[in-house]
Amino acid sequence: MINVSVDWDFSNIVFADIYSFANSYGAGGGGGTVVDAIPFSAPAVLNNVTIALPPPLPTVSNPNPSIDAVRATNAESADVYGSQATPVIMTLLASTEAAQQLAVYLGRPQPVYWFSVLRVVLNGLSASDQNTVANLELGAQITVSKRFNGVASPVVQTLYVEGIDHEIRPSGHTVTIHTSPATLWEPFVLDTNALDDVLFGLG
Amino acid sequence: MAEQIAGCGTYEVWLDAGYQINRFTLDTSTLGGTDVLDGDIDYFDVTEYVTSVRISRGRQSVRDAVDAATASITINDTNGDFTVVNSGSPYWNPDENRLGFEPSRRVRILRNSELLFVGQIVEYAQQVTLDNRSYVTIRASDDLLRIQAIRIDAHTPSEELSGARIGAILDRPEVNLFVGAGKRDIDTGVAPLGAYPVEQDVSVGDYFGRVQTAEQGRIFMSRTGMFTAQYRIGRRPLGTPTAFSDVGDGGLPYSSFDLRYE
Repeated sequence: MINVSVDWDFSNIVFADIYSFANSYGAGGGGGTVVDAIPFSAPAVLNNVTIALPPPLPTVSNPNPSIDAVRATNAESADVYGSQATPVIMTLLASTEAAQQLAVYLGRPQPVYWFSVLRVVLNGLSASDQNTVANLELGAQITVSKRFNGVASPVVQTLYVEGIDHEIRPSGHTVTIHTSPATLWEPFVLDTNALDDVLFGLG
Repeated sequence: MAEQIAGCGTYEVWLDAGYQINRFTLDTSTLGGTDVLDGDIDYFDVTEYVTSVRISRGRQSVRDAVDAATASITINDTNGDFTVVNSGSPYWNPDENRLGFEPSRRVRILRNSELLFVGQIVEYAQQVTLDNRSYVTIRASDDLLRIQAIRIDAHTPSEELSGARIGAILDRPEVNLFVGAGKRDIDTGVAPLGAYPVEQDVSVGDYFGRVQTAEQGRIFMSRTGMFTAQYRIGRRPLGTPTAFSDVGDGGLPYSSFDLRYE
């Protein structure tokens, strides 16, 4: 955790220290040190995430209250891709522990690929399959399997449904599914998560 | 009436005209007929005039905000019933003396009797050619739009998880949204939110955006019109995923896909 002194209008944030979560990520190997960072657009690589908590209201005795902030960094990723940082993210989180969890959660130390858009034409599907596709809901999990030319085994990915478009015309109905990679699962952490925890547990 | 699209299913588009269609009217209604004294139907089935429907729900990327879902309905107004100046239209609202279809009127789109979209008209646009062919485009948004227009009074909430915070905001008297059984599906959430003061007149939508920044889940209206707030993505226990496949293993077939690498 770092305690940062700032102007009340947040115009002059200077961090005194960095809390590093370098061992929280499994960064990709290879590549040399990047001198000039490539400006990735979100949601690409992020290896430097800073989360801040709202400061208390200023008072006469404390006109410039300090901000508590945490930063999650990944040095191996920064070596390969340059420092890819978020602006300071101000949250409503209650504690720096919760902010640490969020900072680690938001990091993406290396690029990922995924089936980002899937198009399904209902014409020709069985009635049951049509209903399944037409009635998909946001947040649902899907898997996509694809056999690529020159690749021995099919690629299978588990994804979340983030968006659903329907195009309905007299000639047919096409459903377009926008997805996000389901690689954001946070791991069960020994000595932290309970074995039978509903969300993190192994039981 | 519902329309069949070959090989796809049966579709319905219903529009609310703002008045009870089947009110019993002296000298017009038939004794023992379908009309009742105070009326109980205010939706018109306009499916037979619809030439296309486009619905867009959710977001394209996990880091985007989830906006209100939208629907665009194109109508071939063959006999002028959808024209805003036609007082002889069956959709003319006698109470207001204007066409019943107007912004804020409700919209329902169904496939095989299952809702695909429920919302309200936000734009009603008519295009008329010189030979008087008329097309109407109706744009609608779901009820997530409403949270942008409602303001919260200043107060200091309790420290609580994101789900409790969302529910408490919706329950506030000046908000009072999605109240009643079956109107909400709010996960507990994993983000503990602090007791930070809420400033006067911040919109519910803006405040929920801050909650989302902390929770990193999803807030949206379900296709059936239920307000939904979900856990931080990846934290929600889920059932068996729906499988799509081109490898002949019984998964649902798809026609194309985009692969993103970033």
